[in-house]
Amino acid sequence: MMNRNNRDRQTLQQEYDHLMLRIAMCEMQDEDMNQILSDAAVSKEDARLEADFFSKTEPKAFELFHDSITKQHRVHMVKRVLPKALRLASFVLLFLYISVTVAIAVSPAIRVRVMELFFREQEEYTEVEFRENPEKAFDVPADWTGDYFLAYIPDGFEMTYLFTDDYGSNDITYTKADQRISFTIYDETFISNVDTENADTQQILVNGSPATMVTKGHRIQIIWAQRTNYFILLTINLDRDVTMQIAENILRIN
Amino acid sequence: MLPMLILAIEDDRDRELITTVYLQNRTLMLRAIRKAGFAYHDAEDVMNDVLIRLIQNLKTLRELNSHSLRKYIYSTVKTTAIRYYIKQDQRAHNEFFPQYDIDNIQDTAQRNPEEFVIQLSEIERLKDALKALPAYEYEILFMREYDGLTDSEIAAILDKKENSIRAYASRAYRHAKEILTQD
Repeated sequence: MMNRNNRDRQTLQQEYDHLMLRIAMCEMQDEDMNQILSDAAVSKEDARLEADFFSKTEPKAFELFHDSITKQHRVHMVKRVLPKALRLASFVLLFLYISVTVAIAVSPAIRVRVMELFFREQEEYTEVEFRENPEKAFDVPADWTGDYFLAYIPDGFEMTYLFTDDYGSNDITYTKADQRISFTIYDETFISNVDTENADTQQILVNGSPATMVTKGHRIQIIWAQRTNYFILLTINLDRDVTMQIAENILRIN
Repeated sequence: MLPMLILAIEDDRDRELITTVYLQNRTLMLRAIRKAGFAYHDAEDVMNDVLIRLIQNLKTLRELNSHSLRKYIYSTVKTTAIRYYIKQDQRAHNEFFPQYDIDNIQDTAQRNPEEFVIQLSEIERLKDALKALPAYEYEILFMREYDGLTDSEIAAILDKKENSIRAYASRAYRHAKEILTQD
């Protein structure tokens, strides 16, 4: 067996030299630090200037800690944590989906969905193609830059607010008397706060995606994710079923 | 919602860590920046860069004991200050680096820094030799030997080509050897 320590004298000497260099630098580093930290290193004037410097920069430093750490964690969340969680969730949902599909395959609902495909029987084969269903067409505001939009809005609602930014966040509100529907798409780096204090929180599925429904008084919020966006749908004075219907009709448009 | 909660907890722990590190070491950081030649009004920008670099390495900060942490911070300040200094303007760059055109030297392949074996015996003699080196040679040796940075990492910090760093390092080892031999 080859001796792993079988290095020639020159190699060992080199390793020794580099170690000595590191030791020397380590000691020089200590000496430097001790020298600049000693009180003798600064005059009274410098001590005053240092105090001024810290009183001026300390709030900015704390602000920097807050912003940088939040940003760093957002990136970590989006790149590491969410993909893992979504992979696990998609595995669970795949299993559920297969089970449910088998269970309801003979139900009329599935047939309705199948009827959306167009079949043309030929002599030797059947041609299958998607055909647009004009009845399901819906309008999207020209300024909307999000990849998803509401395909169903109950009758009588009017758009009263629209906001978009350069990072893919979009926010739209429809109102009708004291009723309100707000739909917001957030990009992957945005952290939002949801009021859950004294609220009823439920885990639900929106078109097979795991979602959280928060009900507090007349307000219902549904929060869920698609790809690198997450959505918050808020309804006020609308019942749960209508809110769910709106959520389930949020479709990818790009 | 659980990942969001974890996010919030991690945020708080990390903020607490960096705040403690900052409060305990800010005098060292400021004085190290000042020692690198920055006036108080420029020190804030360098300090910000240092803090950002520390935030990017929170895992390392968490693992070090207080003495090693202090040395790590000091090293970070020095590296950041050098980077800041030589990127300020060409004049500063020329002051730090010698005037010869080392970027275009052709014989770097033959200049393997590892070949310059220095016969060392006493740490104090070695320290004197290192102190006698030009600043740029000492800093490159320091980053290589003490900080454990690769030539490409040093090149990125100093805004030079990788083979230039290798050439500078070769000169630094050789100069150190010559100084030791003269003694």
